[in-house]
Amino acid sequence: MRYGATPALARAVLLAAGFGMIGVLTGTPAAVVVAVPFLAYVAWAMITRPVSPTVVVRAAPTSVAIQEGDAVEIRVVAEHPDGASAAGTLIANWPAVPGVRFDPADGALVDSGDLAEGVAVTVEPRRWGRYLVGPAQVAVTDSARAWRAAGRATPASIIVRPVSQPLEGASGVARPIGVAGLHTSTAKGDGSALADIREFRLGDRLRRVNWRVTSRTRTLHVNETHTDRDTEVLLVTDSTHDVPGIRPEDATSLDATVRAVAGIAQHYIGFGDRVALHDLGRRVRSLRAGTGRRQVALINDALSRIDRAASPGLPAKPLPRIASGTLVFFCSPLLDPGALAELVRLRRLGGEVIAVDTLPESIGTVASLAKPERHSFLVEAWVVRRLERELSLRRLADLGIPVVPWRGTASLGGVLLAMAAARQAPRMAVGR
Amino acid sequence: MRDVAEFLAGFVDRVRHTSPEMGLLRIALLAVCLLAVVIVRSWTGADVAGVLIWLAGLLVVATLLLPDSAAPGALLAVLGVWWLGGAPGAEAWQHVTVAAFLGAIHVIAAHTGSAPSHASFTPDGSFTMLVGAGAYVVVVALLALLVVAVTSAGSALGSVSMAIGAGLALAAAVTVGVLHASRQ
Repeated sequence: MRYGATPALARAVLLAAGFGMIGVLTGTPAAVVVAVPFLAYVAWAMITRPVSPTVVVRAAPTSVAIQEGDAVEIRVVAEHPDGASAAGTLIANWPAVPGVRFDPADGALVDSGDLAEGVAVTVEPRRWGRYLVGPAQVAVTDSARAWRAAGRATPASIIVRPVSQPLEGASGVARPIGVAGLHTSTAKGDGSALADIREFRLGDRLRRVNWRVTSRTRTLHVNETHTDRDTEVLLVTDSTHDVPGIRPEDATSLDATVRAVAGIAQHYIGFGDRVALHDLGRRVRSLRAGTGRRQVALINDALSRIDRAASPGLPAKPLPRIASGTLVFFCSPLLDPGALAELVRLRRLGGEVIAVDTLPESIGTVASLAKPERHSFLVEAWVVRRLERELSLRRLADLGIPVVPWRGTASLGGVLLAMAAARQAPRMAVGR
Repeated sequence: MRDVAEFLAGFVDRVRHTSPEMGLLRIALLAVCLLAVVIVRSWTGADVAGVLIWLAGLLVVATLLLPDSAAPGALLAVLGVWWLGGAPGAEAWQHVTVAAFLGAIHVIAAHTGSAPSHASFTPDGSFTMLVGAGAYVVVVALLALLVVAVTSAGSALGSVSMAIGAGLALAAAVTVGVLHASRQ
């Protein structure tokens, strides 16, 4: 950025020259007195004139990833290209970003002193997602405000990862499809969960002998256990619609979807399961099944890169196939007929499908009709839409697909209980 | 019509989001401008058919709204010319006071126009601004006093020759300033 004279310096030069000329031409000493403030300002400007004609501004960090609820400090510093020490006033003005809180509140700050120390604002995104903060408008001036170099600093890209709180509860896995893991399978073999006590047979390991029963019965008995296996969990997200709540601060359906996926992924990866991710709306990149902390980080990273503003505009992307017995969590507001059809298709492919309903709780309720400040029939329309949706949910229940509304981290317990109930309940045969 | 509505909406938005520091600066600018107009009006007793007072009032409003525009310069020019019109009979201290007020308007407008209206100041930023502007006004008052003293002493010898000498020195200083500015 290059320094230039400010309107204040131009004004001072013009007025000093003008009143000076009047004094000279008319021989009026009073005109010289009137010119004094402007002459003094020009002299001040000469004293505080920057030593270097240009200045370089930098903003840091330019890219950062934080957890939801955290804040990040973005600092703008100014330096002279020749390395000369620079003192002056730095004015930085960050443009407002929806969903981002600044400190100071309006994102503009004036600081004087060493320009290399710069000015900093604290940026706190309110929700998960990807944010581009800036570019900040930056001006470097001297103490007289006579010289100014103005420009823009580089914008900062902030990725806010959704918070995935640790969840309590069982796995709810009915038929593990892996060969090793923490879920108790129906097959008997090496494991930790006691299945039965039976008489010793050739080939049984000595460490499985149950000495208490053996001494009581005078016959050698061994403990029989269920094998421990892992399974594959598929998380399907439906980002084709982002349905907002009644109030602007309410979580949208996409918020609920992201939080549900993050929580469920962390829960099942904690069991050692392989978790995959697929998005029908093509806003989230698909992830192959994986396990471990790296997979959690990958899923959170993929979720946080969702562009809220982008409209998918593309047809839903169905899954080609799934292994029979795959545990499928289908997180969706369950509004789109295509998403509902995909849900049923996954069930017919043999998946243990759980529908996690992410439609905001506040929308479409009869209670919302009572609000007097409504200026449209949107609320009525949503009530009718929710009633229509109830029919679809009932059909899903008839097909043996449990539907659990996502209401925070405690919802998973309900999901798992629903799975247990579904496992024990008689099933309707589903033809292919 | 839409432009006017947009301007008004933008103005209301700017007022709503004005930071305390910038609000105080604008209040100080308004106070100094009004005092300067009142002083010049009362001490000169001259007003061209009541036009100058209205013109100055309009320019004060424009200066408040757009301190980084030509409005402060126009206001200072009007006040200076107005003062010169009625200055011949004024006392020395009145000349010094008017010069100090003109300097205060100039420097406060410079600071007000340098940052957006919603900008907050750090303690260092506030301190530097207050000390710099305050020192400038004091220096202006002292310089004006010096010039008044010199021109009063010179009046016995011949005010025209003294004014020409001071004017030449002034022109030389301004020329140096312009040359320096053009080098930037």
